[in-house]
Parts: sequence; C-alpha cells; structure tokens
Amino acid sequence: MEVVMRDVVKRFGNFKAVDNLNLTIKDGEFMALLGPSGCGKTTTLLILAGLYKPDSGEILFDDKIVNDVLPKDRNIGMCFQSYALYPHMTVEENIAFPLKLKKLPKKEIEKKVNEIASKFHIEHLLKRFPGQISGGQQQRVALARALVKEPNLLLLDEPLSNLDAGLRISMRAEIRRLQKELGITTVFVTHDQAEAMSMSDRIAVMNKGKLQDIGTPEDLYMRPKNKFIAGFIGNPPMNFLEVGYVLNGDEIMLKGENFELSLPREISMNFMKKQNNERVILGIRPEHLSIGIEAPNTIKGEIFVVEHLGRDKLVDVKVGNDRIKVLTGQNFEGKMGDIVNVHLDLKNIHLFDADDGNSMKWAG
Amino acid sequence: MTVREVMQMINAKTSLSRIAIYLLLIILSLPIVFGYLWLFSGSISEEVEFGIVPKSITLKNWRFLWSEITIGTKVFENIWPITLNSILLAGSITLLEVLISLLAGYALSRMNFPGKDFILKTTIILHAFPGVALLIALYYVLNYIGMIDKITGVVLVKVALELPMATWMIKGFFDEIPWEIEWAAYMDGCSRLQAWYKVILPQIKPGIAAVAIFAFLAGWSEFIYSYTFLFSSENYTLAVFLKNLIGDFRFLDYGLLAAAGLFYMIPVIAFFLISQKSLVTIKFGGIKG
Repeated sequence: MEVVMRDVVKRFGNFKAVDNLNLTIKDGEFMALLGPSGCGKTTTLLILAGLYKPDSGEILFDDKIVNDVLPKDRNIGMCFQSYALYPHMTVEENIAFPLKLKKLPKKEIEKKVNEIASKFHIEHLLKRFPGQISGGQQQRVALARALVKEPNLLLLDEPLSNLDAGLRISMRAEIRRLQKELGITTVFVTHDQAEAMSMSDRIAVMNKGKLQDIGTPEDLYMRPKNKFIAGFIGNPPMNFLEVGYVLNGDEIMLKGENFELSLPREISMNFMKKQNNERVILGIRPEHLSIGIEAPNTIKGEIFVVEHLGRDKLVDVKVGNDRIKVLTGQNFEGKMGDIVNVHLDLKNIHLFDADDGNSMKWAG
Repeated sequence: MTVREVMQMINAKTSLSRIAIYLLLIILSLPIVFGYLWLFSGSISEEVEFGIVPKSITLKNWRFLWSEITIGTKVFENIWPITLNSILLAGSITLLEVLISLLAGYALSRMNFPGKDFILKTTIILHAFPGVALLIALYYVLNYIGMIDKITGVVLVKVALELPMATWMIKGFFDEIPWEIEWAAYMDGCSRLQAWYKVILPQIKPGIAAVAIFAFLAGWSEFIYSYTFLFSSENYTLAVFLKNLIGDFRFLDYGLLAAAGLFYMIPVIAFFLISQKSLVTIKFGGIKG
C-alpha cells in the first residue's frame, strides 16, 4: 500500500509538533522516521495510525483520503515501544485478539495464531501471560499480534529500544528480513541512526517537527543537505569547525584559529561561492581524517584522549578551543598530550552556511 | 561500657518504647472492642455480667429469624422481607454506582471536553456537602416525581450523592492505564466501547471491586434517607427496623437488639473479609496533564 502525507500539520496548543510534512512511502518500502526525541516522529506515526487527527493536511492510503477513517478500520498493524501487550490475556489470546474482533471462525484463528507463533519462535509461550516472559519475547509477541491480521501497513514505534544490545542487533536483521518476505509497507520510528541506517530502504530525517531530508541511507550519509543531518547520521559523528572563508581566484581559503586550508579548484568548484571573510562551517567525518607528518593543508593539535574501539582507535585532538575526532588504525601509538598533524581527505569535506546550516554543495 | 552493652541498652530502649506504643493503641481501641463484645455476648445470653461476660446462653434473642416478635403491644414485621429490601437497596446502589462511575471515570480520565476541570472540582465540593441538609428539598423532589415511599427513590438519592466520590476513585485507576494499551486495542480493531470493556476494564478490576464494596456498604448502612422517605412497613430496610426496635424505651429488649444488630452486621463483616485485598490497593490519582 502506498502512503502519502500531504501538508500535514499537528499542533498541541501553541506547539507545532508536525510542521507541514510531505512524505510519500512507496508500496512495500521500509521507511525510517529518524530524529532526536521531541522531533515529531512519533506524532507522525500516530497520525498515520489514526490515533491523532492532523489539524490540516491529508493522509492518503492508495490514493484514498483516510483522514476520517477510524484506527480500527485502517487495517494497520502497530508495535509500540512498551509493547502494550494486554496483561490480562495469555500470549495466545493477545495474538488472537485482532482476529477475534474480525469475527473469524475459531478454527481459522487457531491456525493463524499457530502459524505466526512458529514464525516468531514463541510456540512454547502461548499459554503464558505477558508478565511471565522476557522483554525480547514480549517484543516478538507484540510483532506477532501486529502482523497476524495481515495488515496493509506496519507501524513500529522504537520497537528495539527496550532490548539489550545483542538482541537489538539480531532483531534488526530479523525484522528487516520479515518485512522483505511479507512485502509489507513499514514505517519505523527511531532515534538511533545506526538502526535506521541498517534497516531501512529510505530514511526521513526530522527535527523540530520539520522534515529535514529524505533519502537512502547512503545518500544521507554521503551528501547531507544540512548540518543537522550531517551531525545526526554517522557514528562517531561528523566534526565541525567554524572557519573564515576567503575566495582567492578559483581557490577557497579556509582560515581557522591556528590553521589554514586551501581547497584546489577541483574541490572548490563543488561548492557555492560566498562573500569574502564570511564565516562557514567545515564538516569532516572522523574516517576522513588521519594523523601524519607536518605538511601544508594539515591541522596542528594536541591529543586530548585516545579511545579504543576494538578494531580502531578514536583520537580526540584539541585544535584551539575545538576538539575533533580522528579515526586511526589499531597500530597508532600516540599518547595524551602529543602534538600531532591531522591530514584531511579534501575530497570528503563538507561546507555549511554558518547562519542557516544548509550545505553549500551544489545539488546533484 | 562495651559495645555489646550499648547495643543491649538500645535494644531495651526500643522494645520499651514499642511496648508503650502497643499499650497506648490497645487502650485507644478498647472502647470499640468492648462495644462489639457486648453486642456478641448480649445476643447469645439472657443476661451479661460486667458488661461483656455472657450468663445462661440462649438462642431466644435470635427468635426474630423464625417467629414474629412483639415488644409491649407492638407487633414487628417479619425480618426476611426487610432483609430482602436492604439487599435490594444496597444491590441497586452498587450496580448503578459502579456502572455510572466506570463510564464517567473513563470520560474524565481519557477525554478532553470543555468544562472538564470544572466538573472535577465541583464533584468534590458536592461530596463535601452534608446530605442531611438536603433532606427536605429531596423530599419535595421525590414527592413531585412520585418516588416518595419507594425504594427506587432512596436508591436514586443515594447514588447521586455517592457518585462523585466513586467517579474520582475510579478515575484514578483509569489514569494508571497507559495510553499505549488503549491505542493497541484500537489498532487491533476495537471500537472505543470495545476497548473500554475488553481491554481496560479487566485491568482495573481491583478498582471496580473497591468501588463496589464502598457502594454496597454505603447502601447497606444507609439510614437517614430510608427513615425519612419510606413510611410503608413493607418498604422498611434493616436500619429502619433496628431503629424501630429501640423505638419504645419502656419495653426495650437489649438481647433482641443485640442479636438484630449482629445480624445486620454479618454481611458487612463477610464483605470485609472477602475484599480486604482490593481495599488496600485503593489510591486516588491526581489530575494528569
């Protein structure tokens, strides 16, 4: 089922929780709504569910406006962060509940419940109550209950955030695989960019009620449209340094407190031009930095701390009042307090407007 | 002084103060215990000594259960139809109060409508209002709508006056149910009414039990309205019957009074024994934003 949101606005008093949202979710697509808490992503999900009514705008399911269709008639499966299992019913009754409300014959209900229970490996739990099973098992039951009625749309509200780290990673893959198997259109709300990156076909990034950008995980990672997306997606996050901008013919000079970088023509032509002496923000990811010998176009700094990540080391380097993170190999030997030269992979730098945070890269 | 001696002294001190506390509590509760003991001894004996020691055990005082009783020249009604009236009164009050408070409590907890805050505040004021002050006005109203001398009339009055408290109590229980559970019910295909009774009500069973118990006890011990609004003897309730037993001081039969009083208390005691657990879980929820 294709889902379209058109100019959707939702206010709570004077607070605009969702601000003029336009979003199209293709049939069978796995879409993540990603953003920090309070960005309006859960509100958006509840609007799709029909639990909140938008103040203006339209919601379309397969070209039909469903603004006034009650949640019970939307045929949506939903899995909540707290799982919201009914504590007074057994696991079996929980899963059978949506089918009972549809008044399916008893035999058929039994068959469907058993089918989905075996798919989620919870057959042995059917007679227990939600309070008697673990969090991971509760989550499987909640998913089974959401999917047993074969919904047209699956909504997941931070379904993994209450699981421990190991289980979370294995559930990521399982949900992803199941979604592709069933081909069910899915909207997934999360504040964890790694979750969104690893599971979704496309990600809609939201902040303060506004849609920031929408694209494939790779798109958003490689070509962030603004500073917010650049800082939110990717772990460890992108480094930002405020610098002065000087145009010198075709070359761009970036002047920091105690360093100067000059961008050759083939790099500088990727960016929109600015007035001389304006402030811009230089962004670069830790994996595009390295530590080496003194040379032009490097930044001198002092090692603040070295973090061991297992496969790599993450080096915090103090540059003036800023700190930047550099991802280095396991064999890096630097110690706290060492003076080092940080090399930048200039092909992978980003420049953002210091005022509105928009990327200065030419689109396309 | 060794550490051990100090510890012993502290222990002695705490157990001494504990004894003092228990003593105080026992003295404070003595009058109540004494009253019940008198009631019990009096009901099974011809005479009591020292106020509470039964002498010459008899079942004579319980004769109202199987025969007509007369005190002086007055013949009293059979107790069983009166008991039935009391059960009917308390039962109807319980049923109505539970049903209405469950609907009203849900609305006050879950829905937003103009005047909600006003209703929440005024219901409490209404409860603080002394019922006796309304006696004459209520008489007029009941008379006007033809409900005087009818048990239904007393039921309506009692339910109206008890409802605010019951609604507040049950609202607190609804407040505790997370929205997500209710939402899940809607997503699974419930209408609002279905979500209410299939998913939410089963989870506030302790609250329903508590309201039901309070309503039943209030109905069972209801006296002033029954006494004022019911005058045909076939509509009497146990409380009125008991009052009539004391009616004439010249021929007062204390043994009979004690037995009838005990009889009146039996359902209350039974109820408390059964429902202790639910009563303990009651708490009053505040207003959630």
